[in-house]
Amino acid sequence: MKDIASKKVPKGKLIKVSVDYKEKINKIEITGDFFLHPEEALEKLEADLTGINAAETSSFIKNKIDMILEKYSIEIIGFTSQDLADVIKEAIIKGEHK
Amino acid sequence: MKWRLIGPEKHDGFTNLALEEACIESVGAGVAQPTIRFYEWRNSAVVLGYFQKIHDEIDVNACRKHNIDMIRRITGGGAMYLDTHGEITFSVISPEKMLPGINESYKEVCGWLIKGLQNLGLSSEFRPVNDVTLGGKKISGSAMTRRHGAVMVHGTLLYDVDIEKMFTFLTPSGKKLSDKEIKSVNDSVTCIKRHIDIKKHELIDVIINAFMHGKEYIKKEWTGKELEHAAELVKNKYTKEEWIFRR
Repeated sequence: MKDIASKKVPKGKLIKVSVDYKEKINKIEITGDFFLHPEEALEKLEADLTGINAAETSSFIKNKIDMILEKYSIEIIGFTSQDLADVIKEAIIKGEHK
Repeated sequence: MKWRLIGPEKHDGFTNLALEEACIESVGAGVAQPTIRFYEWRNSAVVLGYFQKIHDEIDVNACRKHNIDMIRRITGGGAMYLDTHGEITFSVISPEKMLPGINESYKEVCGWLIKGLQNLGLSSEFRPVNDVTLGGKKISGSAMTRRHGAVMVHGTLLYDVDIEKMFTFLTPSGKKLSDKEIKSVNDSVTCIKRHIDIKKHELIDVIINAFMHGKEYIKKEWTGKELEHAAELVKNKYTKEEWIFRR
């Protein structure tokens, strides 16, 4: 299944997530008008989020994102790891309800 | 450290962005001075943020039909329409130690712009993360990258904006904006011409003076190596579909 969800963070930026998954996340694409430093690390974040069990909670996904941010010294501006986790979870829930 | 001032100069958009990338590398490597640059756009262009999906942001067919360049930049942030006479664009490229911290760097560079507007009797404000507002409406937006030991803050100052034309090419959320939505954008942004009657070249002079105030600098041109590197980046990166359509 594949679905998309997005969030305009209040006083922040837009994040849009496309998630392709079955039991696990197979592919994830994060787009939007946010800032992320270093820019090329977005691909690493996307790659490291694959393989997560689609049934995991938003809080589990947030912790995973935090670990990846730390691993690659990524700084995000315009959204938080919780915002991103919520949008990923929303895309998965939307897909399941179709 | 003495700054290098480049411009005002005018190139096509691909070259404009390639020159910045070449400059980041030369400043980061310590072979070029920290650089403040003012530039304009020979062809009107839409410029996408690094993380944006092109089909969510731009009407590709409309751009092709009207000969509008579609360009992806190396910095994040939102898509912009840059008209040949509607905007002033600037970039500040320095070693990272001269502009430490992301939020601090935006505040510093936006502060120079705010000073320039103040010299014209316009009272503007910094609106975090990366905007300057006048009368509560956005008049300038910036974006930043930090790489190769250098930092670049680049941004636009809206001189004379045509919102309706802008949204012929920009399609936020992947759709054409309704008249109501265009009016709402129109109400949230402003431009210099709505406030004062000033020629564009006069405005550029005022803004350059504000940016350079209190700095030791020398007016110079690009080095041969930077021009060569930029030409290679135009050819092998900025005009390539795999770069422009990468998301």
